[in-house]
Amino acid sequence: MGPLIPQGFVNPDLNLFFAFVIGLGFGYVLEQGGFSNSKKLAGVFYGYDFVVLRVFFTAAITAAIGLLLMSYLGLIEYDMLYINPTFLWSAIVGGVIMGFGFILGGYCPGTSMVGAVIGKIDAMFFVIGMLIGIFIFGSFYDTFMPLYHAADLGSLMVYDSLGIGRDVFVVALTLIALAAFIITRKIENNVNGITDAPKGLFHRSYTAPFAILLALAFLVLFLPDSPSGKWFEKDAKALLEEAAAGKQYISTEEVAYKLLHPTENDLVLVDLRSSDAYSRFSLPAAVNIPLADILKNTSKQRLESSKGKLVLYSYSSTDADQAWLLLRRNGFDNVQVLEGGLNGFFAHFFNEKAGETEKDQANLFSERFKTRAEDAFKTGEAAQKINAKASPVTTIVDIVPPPPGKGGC
Amino acid sequence: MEKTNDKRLTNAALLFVLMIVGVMLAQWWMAPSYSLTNEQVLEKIDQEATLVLPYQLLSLNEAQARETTALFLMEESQLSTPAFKQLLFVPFGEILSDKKLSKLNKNEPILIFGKTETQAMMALQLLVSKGYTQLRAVANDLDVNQQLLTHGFDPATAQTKTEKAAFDYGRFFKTSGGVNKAAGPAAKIPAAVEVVKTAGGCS
Repeated sequence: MGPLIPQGFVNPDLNLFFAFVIGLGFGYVLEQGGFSNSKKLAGVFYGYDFVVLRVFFTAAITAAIGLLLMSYLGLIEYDMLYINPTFLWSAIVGGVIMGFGFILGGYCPGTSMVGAVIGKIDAMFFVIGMLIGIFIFGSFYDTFMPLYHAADLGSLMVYDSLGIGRDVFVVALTLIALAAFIITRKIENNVNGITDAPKGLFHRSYTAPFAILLALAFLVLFLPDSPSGKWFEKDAKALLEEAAAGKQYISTEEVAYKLLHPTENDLVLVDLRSSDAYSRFSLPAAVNIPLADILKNTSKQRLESSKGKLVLYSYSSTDADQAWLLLRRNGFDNVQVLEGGLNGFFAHFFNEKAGETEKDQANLFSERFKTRAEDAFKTGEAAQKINAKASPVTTIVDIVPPPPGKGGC
Repeated sequence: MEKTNDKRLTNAALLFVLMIVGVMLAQWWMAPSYSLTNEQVLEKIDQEATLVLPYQLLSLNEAQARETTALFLMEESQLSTPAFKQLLFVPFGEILSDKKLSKLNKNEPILIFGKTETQAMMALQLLVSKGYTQLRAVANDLDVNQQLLTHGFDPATAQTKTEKAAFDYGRFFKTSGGVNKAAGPAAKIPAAVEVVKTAGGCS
């Protein structure tokens, strides 16, 4: 399902509109968390209020665990997520400027917008300062560009740079968050002079959510990439029942009839052979999706968006039946197999001995071998094959003197 | 986080993860029973040499045969096979019945003989998805294998399988030029899928 834009659920042209809507929601959450108050925000630097740290840690581990579990459930395609590239120097310089501004003004860019929207004058000044900064950066972009693009590390992940597994990193992050919650509470109590704080490592309201998050983080560690069976998949016994009854097959005559009557043609022919074989020959208007690629996201999207009945074919029924089982299990209902495949189609319409060859496969193989052998000997392919394997070779050196004036030593 | 609004955020996070836990429980309850994902099944049938070609069937030695269970997808068979560990006759439509499956060991070699090659491969695919690890299917239809096992090595069928071109299609079947009546109206399937990468992030 997700990410929504690359998967085609959201029109890319509406990208900014959805960013705006999400931004409104994000702003509301920040405001509700008390993030429109610069004193509260700056408290993290002076030790009297660590709410910023706790909220962002909670958000980070909730998002990380949520993302991995949604990826496990197949709701998000993890590999399609866009990862911001890391430019090391601009991150360091930008981080220093932002940290300095955060201590000085008590806001970060997002929270300053929230403060400004609810009428905080200091936040409005902060936003004006931010806009001036943006203007200067834009005006002198060419000057800043070497620094901006310096040390491009690509789409770097923290766990890759640490050399640990993704799931291990999420567990470690959750444990670090747990430690941070305990330590910051102690610091807060000391700085604020609270002596009668409730017992326990951290506040009671955290206990249940954090216990669940921690349990889920450990669950992620042991879960496979995806469940072996998914809720939308069809049961194996139901598939076997259909296959045993031969319900997947569509006759060669029906396919031929529909190909010859375009107005009645509701078929989408899918050629499962290799792209080489497809380029040499295919049925009219067929599309090529090799069997090995049939479950790729792009292939599934193409098949899902097709407007007709899918008819799979390969040389015989073997590969097509394999693909049919895979697609049916995956929830595709409108899919059939060309009975007998290309060989059956050809034999039915072109071969004079159609009935004979269809019934007697051994005879067909024998004829095919004779033709193949004849071609191999005629064209010299057989001789080449034998030469290629000839070994050991006795080399006879026959020195022929060069003609006069044509070199030599 | 100790104020009402902070608690609301914590509760929202809790609600989010509980929702995911709910989806996971629903998934476990609703999902059919498989041991491998669809992708793993495809990888196994595509990359492993699952099909036993005629020359491989003939060269199956006694020791290998004695460790292998031959699974025939039919009521009975007259095939003169090597001395397998055991012969099981299970009609194709019944291979997933619990009673029949109990006779098969998931980790022992199983060789499947079908009436047709595609039937043997479909049985193999379904059993692979159920967690059977050492499965192979005999290529070609029963009549070819009957002949092979009766008469021995035949160069015409030594490396055959049904999933091969049987004819020189291009010579007889013209798919371009002329009145392209068969091409039909506009394409009903996209030529490809465009992957749009979008930037994200927040400050």
